[in-house]
Amino acid sequence: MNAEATCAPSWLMMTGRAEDHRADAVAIQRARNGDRSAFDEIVRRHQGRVYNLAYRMLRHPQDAEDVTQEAFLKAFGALPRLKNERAFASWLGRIAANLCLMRLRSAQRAETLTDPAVIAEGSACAGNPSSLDIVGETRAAIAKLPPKYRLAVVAFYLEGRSCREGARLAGVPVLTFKTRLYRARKLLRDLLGEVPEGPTP
Amino acid sequence: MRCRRVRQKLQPLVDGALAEKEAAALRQHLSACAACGLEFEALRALDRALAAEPTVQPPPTMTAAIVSQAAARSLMAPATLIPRRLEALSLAGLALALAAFAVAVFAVGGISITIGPLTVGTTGVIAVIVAAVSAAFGSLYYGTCA
Repeated sequence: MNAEATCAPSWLMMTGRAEDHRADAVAIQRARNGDRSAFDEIVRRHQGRVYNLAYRMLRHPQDAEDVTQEAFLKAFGALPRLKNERAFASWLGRIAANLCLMRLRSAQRAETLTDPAVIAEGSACAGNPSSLDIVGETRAAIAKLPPKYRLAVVAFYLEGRSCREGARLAGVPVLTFKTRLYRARKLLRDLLGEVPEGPTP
Repeated sequence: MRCRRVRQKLQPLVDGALAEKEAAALRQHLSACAACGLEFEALRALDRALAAEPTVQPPPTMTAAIVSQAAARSLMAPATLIPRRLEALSLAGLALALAAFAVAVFAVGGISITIGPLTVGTTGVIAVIVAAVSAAFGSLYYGTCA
């Protein structure tokens, strides 16, 4: 088996991490002391990432919003027990990922999520019909993947996480994550058939 | 380089994760081998298709909604951990005190015996006092933290 799934898609750069982690630690300490503005700051800093993860997993704006809110509230509820404040971002991501997986598994959302109306929702590519087709087809294919494979693709490709980060997000060993990614790629290629040429970055 | 080995390295090549020397060797193979070249192109196309996914913006009201929900659920009180810990401890203390009291009552053979002072032995009296004091402390502790 090819477990050579590598870890640095060139089109996405991870943001400056150490500084973010330090800032998180400071904000969390303030939040623990009851500083309401610190909660605001924490939400602002992380909501985009959590919402994107949820949206890409669930393909439904309201579901994504619900999961994002639930993830933050769970995290805030457990904030006093968080030992490593610098790991807040990955901890929050894992909470959100678990919530997404639970939703996908419990409500059999897979069928509704492949609804063409939701998938064709064009957003940022609306001005370019060909790239809209590609995005739509790829979305439809991703939505057909089993939840854990979907998480691997979303984490690695759409979010630009490394395999180590993806594994942490999914709560599995790195090798398991790589295997899922490998199988997900195979499935995607089968689902997409002749993969359309995407726009050159 | 053999095709089988090349195929295993195609995804790393797409991801730009190989050393230049190895990448060059692979590219040389790809220029000569049509089958591997097709495989590489398919992987690259999938990569591009996935990369075309746009980023979505969360609704502008989201921050306020989350923060107000956190406030409504009392998640923003300072040091919410301390009262919870104390509460857990005091509940344990209360349970212990009640247990001690029950044992003491059992030891002296029931409440009716404790009413008649002449029939209660020294051990029984001490047990009742200890149990009563523990129960009082337990309730007091619980009362301050609840």
